[in-house]
Amino acid sequence: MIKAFLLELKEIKSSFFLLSLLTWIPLLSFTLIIAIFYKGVALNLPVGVVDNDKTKLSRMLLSQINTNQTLLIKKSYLSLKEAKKDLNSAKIYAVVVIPNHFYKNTINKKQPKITAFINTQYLLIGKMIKSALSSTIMQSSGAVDFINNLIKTKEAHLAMAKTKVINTQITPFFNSYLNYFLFLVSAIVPTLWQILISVSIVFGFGKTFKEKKENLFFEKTNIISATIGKTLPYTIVFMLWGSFFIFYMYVYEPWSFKGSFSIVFLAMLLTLLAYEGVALLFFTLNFHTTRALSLTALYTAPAFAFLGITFPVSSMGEFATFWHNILPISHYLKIQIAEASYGSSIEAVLPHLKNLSLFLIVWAVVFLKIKRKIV
Amino acid sequence: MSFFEVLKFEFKSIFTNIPIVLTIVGGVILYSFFYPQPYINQVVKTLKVSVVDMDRSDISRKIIFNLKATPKLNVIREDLSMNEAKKALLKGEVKGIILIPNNFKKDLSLLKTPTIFLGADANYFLVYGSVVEGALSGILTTKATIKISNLLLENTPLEIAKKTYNPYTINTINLFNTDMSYTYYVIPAVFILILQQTMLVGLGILGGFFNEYKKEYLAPVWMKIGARSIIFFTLFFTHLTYYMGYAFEMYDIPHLSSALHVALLAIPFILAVVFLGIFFGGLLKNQEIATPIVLLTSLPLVFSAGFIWPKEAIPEFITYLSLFFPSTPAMQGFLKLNQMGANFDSILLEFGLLWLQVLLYLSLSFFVLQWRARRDSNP
Repeated sequence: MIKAFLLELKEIKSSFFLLSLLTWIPLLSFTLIIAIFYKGVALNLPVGVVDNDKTKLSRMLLSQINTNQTLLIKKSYLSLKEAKKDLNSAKIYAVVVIPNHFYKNTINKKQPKITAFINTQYLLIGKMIKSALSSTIMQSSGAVDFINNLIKTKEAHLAMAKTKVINTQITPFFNSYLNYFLFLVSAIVPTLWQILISVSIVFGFGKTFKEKKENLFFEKTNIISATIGKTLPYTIVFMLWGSFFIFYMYVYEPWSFKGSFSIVFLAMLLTLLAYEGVALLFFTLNFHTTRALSLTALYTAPAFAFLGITFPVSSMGEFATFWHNILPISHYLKIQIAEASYGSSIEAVLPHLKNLSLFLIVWAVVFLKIKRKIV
Repeated sequence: MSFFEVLKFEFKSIFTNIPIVLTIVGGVILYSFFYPQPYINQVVKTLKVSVVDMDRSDISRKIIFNLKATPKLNVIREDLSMNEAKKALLKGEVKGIILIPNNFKKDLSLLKTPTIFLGADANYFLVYGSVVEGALSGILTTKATIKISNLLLENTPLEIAKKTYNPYTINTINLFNTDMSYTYYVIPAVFILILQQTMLVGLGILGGFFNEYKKEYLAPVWMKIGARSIIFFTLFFTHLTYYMGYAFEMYDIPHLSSALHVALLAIPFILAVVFLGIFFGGLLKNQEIATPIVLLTSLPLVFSAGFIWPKEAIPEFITYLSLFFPSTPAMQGFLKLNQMGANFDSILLEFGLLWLQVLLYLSLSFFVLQWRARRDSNP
């Protein structure tokens, strides 16, 4: 095992690309993802306005919209038609139309309607704008209602009660700032990590077999221990990258972590071994690097969509649910979330750990395949 | 070698290389079925929530009734305490909790503005958003009823009462992806990326293969580039019409643009990717490196393109960097044309940028193949 381990270290050192896959490529790709989402919240999303009323009330409303930190009034248009072009080319994500006689109709209790056209092609952006606009207008309308009630009741607290009737307090459990950085980066980086593991393993084994050095590793020795020794450098390096990321997210960055780090590391190790096993299974199909890489690409590249983070698994169809289940990273993320957010006990995450262990069966096939190839 | 011979040789090299064929034919077709799978059911199903009713009054029951009536929520539990409900949330049995406190009705009649607590699992944003939206709409209905009945008590006529409880309101209209479908949101953009990435993998493997095993293949560089781009352009133009025609139909994805405009944007997009691919392949020492490199660029490219996460929130240097990849202007351009019904003149920027990339990568691929040829002819 140690012989194979040392030999593999030499192999890695001799290949610039393999060395890169273990060092600066993970660093660069993780950093890029972290940088993209670093702001965590979207501020000042550009919207347009059409003010058909042009009164004190409409101007107040517009300034309230501009004060909302999600929104930024980028341009004022004379008509919806004029705004349409900028909407279609996504220069603005929404246009707010204040109707004619808005002020007059408000005074006369005719309940005028403000209309907002929102670009929901960009679903996430559309949703952020929709909720920011709705809450701004509700608040603004509430303020007017409060003044009306104040005139009627002459007492502030009574007027307030009549305006609000019921308070609603919304608590986002586990990600209290609703931060997209925490939400997305905690899933995207592990997705990149599984790609890197699988690719590196195929590449490392591929190099040996292509250069016909397999006898150096496997001849006259125990295949199992030689294979494990050969994968050991990758296991160590990617355990380090994985732990480094966990420390970055939950120790360096201030995101709370309620559970046990050891459970996460255990899950990480199982996931890592699962991917190594699957990658080797692909490789040992015909010991051809490029073909194995095609299969690896098919298996690891679309993973993010199947994780159930952005789109819930409960809403997926049968095939997608099946694919979700055969990706070790799906099970790993359930454990990562359970530990970070819920502080789950080991019993609670045991089913996921069991699922991860099931993947290790592929190693048996791998050992057999290598044995048959060597003899 | 004549140009025709070069064309024949390139064709043979491409279509006898199994990994290349697997990628540029098999992969492209397979991915068109595979990628939309998670979203095929379209909308997020009803979400399970728990209600903790500590008031047990006719009003709290009315609220629960209104919550049950919202299509987004499914009240599956009524817990006696917040703790119990939270346990169910931790087990994943429910995604949200709505708590109506003690003395809710009493406080309401004393005009003390009682508070309803609403909590949801924010680990999954789509689920969180739907729970909050559903619960708020249920609560708002109740609120409106109470306000109207208060106004009626003050002898306001019903017609006016209905309109005065809120001085003005907002009506939001969804443009382009009116059903807020996840398929329409993700798939049109991801399809563009798939086309680019499979093309790059194919050309990368091919270039690496030539550099490693076919050093004696010494045709004039313009012939190599010409032949390779004719083959790849024809193949991927067909793929693109399949993706934006048949595949869009299959998933009911709207395509507002005319075929002519799509084709007009497709030309510089495919050419830019082909030349980028030839350049990329020219750099590679062997065929194995191509797939990993392309694979690792996919996620950063998708997330920096500005359709998932707003470009206003992405650091500028990343946005500029992403403009060197054809997929970025192509995703933006095709989305605007096909999904948002923009005129061609509003995507001239993307169109121009793609042509600039065509020039850049054509010259780069010329240089790199020239350099390879010179190196291989005098070792």
